[in-house]
Amino acid sequence: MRPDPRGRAGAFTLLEVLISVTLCSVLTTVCVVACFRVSALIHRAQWRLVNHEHAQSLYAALDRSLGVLAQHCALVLTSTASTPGLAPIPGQASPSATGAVSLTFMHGKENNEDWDWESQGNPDNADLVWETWTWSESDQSLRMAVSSPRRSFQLTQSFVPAAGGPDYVYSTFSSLPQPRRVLDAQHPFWTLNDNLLFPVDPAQPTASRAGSGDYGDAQDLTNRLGLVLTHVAQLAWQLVAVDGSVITCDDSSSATVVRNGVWLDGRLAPSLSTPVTPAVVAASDLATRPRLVRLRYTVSDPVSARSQVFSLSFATPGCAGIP
Amino acid sequence: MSGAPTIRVPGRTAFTFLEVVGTLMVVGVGLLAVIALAVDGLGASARSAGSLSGMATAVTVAVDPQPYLDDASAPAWSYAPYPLSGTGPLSGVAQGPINGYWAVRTETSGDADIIAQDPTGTVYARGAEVSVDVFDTIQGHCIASYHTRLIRQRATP
Repeated sequence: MRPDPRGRAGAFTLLEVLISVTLCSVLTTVCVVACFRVSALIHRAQWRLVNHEHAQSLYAALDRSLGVLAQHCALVLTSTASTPGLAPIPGQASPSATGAVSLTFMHGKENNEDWDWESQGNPDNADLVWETWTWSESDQSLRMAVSSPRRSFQLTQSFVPAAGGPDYVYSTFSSLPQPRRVLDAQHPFWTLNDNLLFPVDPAQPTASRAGSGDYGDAQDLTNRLGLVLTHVAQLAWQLVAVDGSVITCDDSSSATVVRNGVWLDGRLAPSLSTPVTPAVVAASDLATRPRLVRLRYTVSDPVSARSQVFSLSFATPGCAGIP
Repeated sequence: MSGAPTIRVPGRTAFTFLEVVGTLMVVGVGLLAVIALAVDGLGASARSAGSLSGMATAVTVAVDPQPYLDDASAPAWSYAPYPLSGTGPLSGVAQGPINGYWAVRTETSGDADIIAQDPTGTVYARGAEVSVDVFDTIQGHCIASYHTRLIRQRATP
């Protein structure tokens, strides 16, 4: 600091001020840059942390469901192809996108002591419920639903059976999810709604004259779809069957894959007396049941445009081992 | 410089240039320490993320030596299985990148583990010990380990 010849307080020289200002500028620049970088790192770390948390939760949920996969019930994979030429922005909703992939199956245990049809109302089978996982490209979300173990409603309209009897108006009815071993061309996925108690018209499988409370399993699943994950840019399922075949279901094409359930009594052919030969085994529903279910999904971050792929595999019950 | 004259107040002194520079240096070191602390915290956060899904990844690889990987990871995944009808101590290794980690799966089986075999020596089912280690990077820290026993079964029919 330069002394003032007139006895006043000394002032900084221009050089000292310049050096101080330069140091302040350097420090400020370093701080600002560091703040931005740390902020980006924090965002990235939080995004990664959240993704891994979600992956762990998703694995736990699917492992719990597929671990009790009802092998005697049909399993359905459906996909709708993405719109050609439309490339949605990763992690962001694209309302016009059409891609979709879903997996629907029944989980729970069957009471093997009375596996016949009459046991459907048995409380022992009350944990047999349908479950669906649906990915939609339009909002890049993964949603899931589990059907209600029991649905009840009150009939608000007059109904007298054709064969005669009392009028059931104001009576309370209930229905349980119905296990379906076979879903084919004659019994598509929507026939899960056949357990409507008061259907109006066979052409309207989801409609009931009893009101909104009477609906079938498929409609029940649709009503209950809830959000699980967002920013899921891609999702695909893969089934590894007992016979070693592999089926992939993603949004590259539109397809429906059905794996019919096995017979509860262990037979491999419609007739119990059919001898078990390799040909019979190969043609049986057991051969195409999944022993492994694989899930692969990509999570995208709309902020940083980063993405992370997760691959998860689940062993199903009753089809032990890997080929 | 022109302007109002500076009045010297008795008993009061101003900072010297060295004091100003020293203060700025101390502030700078403090800021760097804060930044270093934040970066270190991020590292800890990343490590905790690994412990979250590491076990799910380990179980996935244990039940499935050929997981459903994306196009970028699949070429780096290697799988060397042993012959199902082999004899003596057998081992197979699968390893590669999955879910942002590096997984190493080792499967061992011996003659005593054979469950079903026909007279020609063809094995249809055998038990196997499976160990999976999941690392945060190649040669990195092990964040999850899983050990199980499973049945290796020839595809039916």
